[in-house]
Amino acid sequence: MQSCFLLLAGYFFYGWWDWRFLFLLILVSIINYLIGIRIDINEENRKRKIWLITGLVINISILGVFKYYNFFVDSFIDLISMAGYDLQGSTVNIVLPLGISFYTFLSLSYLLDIYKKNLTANRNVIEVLLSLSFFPIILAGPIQRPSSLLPQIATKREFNYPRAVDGLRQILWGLFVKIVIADNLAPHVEDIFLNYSDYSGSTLLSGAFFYAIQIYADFSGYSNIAIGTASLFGFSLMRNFDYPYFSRDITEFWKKWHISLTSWFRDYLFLPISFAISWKIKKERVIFIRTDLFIYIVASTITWFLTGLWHGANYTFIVWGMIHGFFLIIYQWQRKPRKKLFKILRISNNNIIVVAIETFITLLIVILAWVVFRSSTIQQSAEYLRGIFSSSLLSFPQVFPKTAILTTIIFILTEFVQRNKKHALQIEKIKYRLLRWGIYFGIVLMILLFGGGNQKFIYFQF
Amino acid sequence: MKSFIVKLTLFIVLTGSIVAGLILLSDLAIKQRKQQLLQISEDINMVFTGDSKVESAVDDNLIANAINIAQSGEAYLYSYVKIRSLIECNDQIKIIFIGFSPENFLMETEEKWLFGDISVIEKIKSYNYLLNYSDKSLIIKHNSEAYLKGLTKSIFRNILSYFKTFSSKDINGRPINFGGYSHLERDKLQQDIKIMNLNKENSFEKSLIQERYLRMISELCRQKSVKLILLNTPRYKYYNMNINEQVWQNWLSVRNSLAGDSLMDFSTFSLPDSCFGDLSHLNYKGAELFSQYLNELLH
Repeated sequence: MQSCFLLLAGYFFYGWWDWRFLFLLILVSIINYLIGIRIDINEENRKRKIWLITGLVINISILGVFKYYNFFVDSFIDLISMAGYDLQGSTVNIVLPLGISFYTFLSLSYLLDIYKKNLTANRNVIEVLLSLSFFPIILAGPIQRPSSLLPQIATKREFNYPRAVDGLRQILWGLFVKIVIADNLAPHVEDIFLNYSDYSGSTLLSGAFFYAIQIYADFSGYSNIAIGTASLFGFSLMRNFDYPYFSRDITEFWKKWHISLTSWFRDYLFLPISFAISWKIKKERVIFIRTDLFIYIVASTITWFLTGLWHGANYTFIVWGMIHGFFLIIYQWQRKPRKKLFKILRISNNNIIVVAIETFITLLIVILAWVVFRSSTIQQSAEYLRGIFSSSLLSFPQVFPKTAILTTIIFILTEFVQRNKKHALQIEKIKYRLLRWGIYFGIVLMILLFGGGNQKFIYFQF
Repeated sequence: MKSFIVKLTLFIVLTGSIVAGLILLSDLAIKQRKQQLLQISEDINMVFTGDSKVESAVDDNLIANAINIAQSGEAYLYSYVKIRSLIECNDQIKIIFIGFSPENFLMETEEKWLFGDISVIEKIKSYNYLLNYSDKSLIIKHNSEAYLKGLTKSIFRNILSYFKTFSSKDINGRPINFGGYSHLERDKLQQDIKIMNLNKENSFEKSLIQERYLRMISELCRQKSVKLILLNTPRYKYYNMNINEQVWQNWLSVRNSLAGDSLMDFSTFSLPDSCFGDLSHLNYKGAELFSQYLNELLH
């Protein structure tokens, strides 16, 4: 009964955005339910593999058609044109179904987990459909794998007061960061990225910084709302963000940013590729590179190419993914020499200056990479980056939104102070109820007084 | 569960009541200081108002006895309430110049400037205390959500403005949060010329409310013995090519229906290319030349 209600609520919620794609969501879920059972009941490995491949092909094809068809057609025509042939081709206007990348990944992990025998195919169609279209996560994650969601669905859920209160707190914080932080920065980011040729280097740098905050506030805000909502219904979802901008290195950043996606790629792509290569290579070095580093380079390159592509059908996303892949490889490569150097120089790894410098460098890499992510074309991102490093870099920024900057500072400080908590509004330890309620009321008031315009969630487009 | 629902309801009711109380209090406070807020210098008897075209074309520092209160994306309803309140608080006003261009009477403009989310939120935030019941109900009827958002945002704006009225530094003969000359550095004329024909609209839908409020402004000025002048600011020479015939005809018919008011049509005013920010807006160089010319003309 509970699951039935949640499933209907999920379909209503999804259909509210665009009812046309509700049928696609139901169809995809039913196909995966049936294929899951076929994989599970077959003992023979070959047949299990055939059903798995069928499932993967169906899911990836649907994603490919809706999300990447035009991109691949355009890229193919460009490639042929470069070879001197004039190929007539046309793209079609395909509307991207909301959350398709998210529910496709849920479906893929469902089938892969059954194939790997980490999960038994659930025969209850309602429960499987619910795990693939649970309404808080259907539009933009977290990508909560069915292997952890299905057991929760199968259990009867009781109302839990502390969990529900914590869920509401998390929703309130999510609303604050989305409406006050992200939505107030959005128009300034839009203006700077649209008219980048008119602005000084310092303005472009602040535009990149604003975007870094905007995308984090927007997406972590959504994740907080989703996780908090799920808590109200008795579900425990995985964290999607763990204060990533306070990371000391790029590896740590990716352990803390969009955790559900990163761990998905790690478990279903990076690790299988790494294992597959390591079984084949028995030498200590490949092309003068340590074997472990060589494996890391190959697996990372593939993983980050696909991570970039997952975000959208544009070269900017691919380049953004490859930039992160490149810096992750660099980080992996310098780990041992760095350790030796620190030992020789007798510098502690936890030296506060070292930590601060490394955190700053990581943040700078991440911010500059966001420029590529946010730009419409590679050329635009190159011009934008060139604009940053111009003589006007040291001038005062032309765009200086005081309210947005002030609220952003409050946001960053709160997150820094609360960085060891699951979310920044975990204040249950404050004994005085009046103070707690005062904080809630203050946040509501800030949302009402300083909330930005109606901006869509950035990750809805993915 | 019961305790959770009771506490949640209590919190929502309490928060709602406090916010409603703050809205009422801040509105009351700002209305009390309206005279101080809208007081302009004794020597100013000419007011320029309208949308971004007037905002960027008229540099009131260069025109004696004049003030510019135009604001980009301003519908006639908001110009009307600003003029009404300003005349109420300042007897010395003798002439009102109001922006009068063909695009003002398009449905597209009306939907965006009068009832669009961003417009409503911004205008209600600043001018809610000036609106009367009928103005408010018109906006609420078309976009109640944006009206409510603007209303909550007006709390902070009202409180800030209230305190500013006690500071002589902030009260310097200009109304607070009332618009003004905008120093436009835009340089998009060549870009506009390139895409001019691509952007030419062939469809035409007449606005419904813009004309009504312009008439109300005209009527108000007549009642208060203030001269109203319809002002069409300078346009680039290719601008006319970008406007379809029906839009022109409609503009002319509105103008003819306001026969009692004068028209100053500067659309063909000759200025070098460097004076235009785009096809329909003067940049700061253009504003300087045009304002100097206006000053000579008016004195």
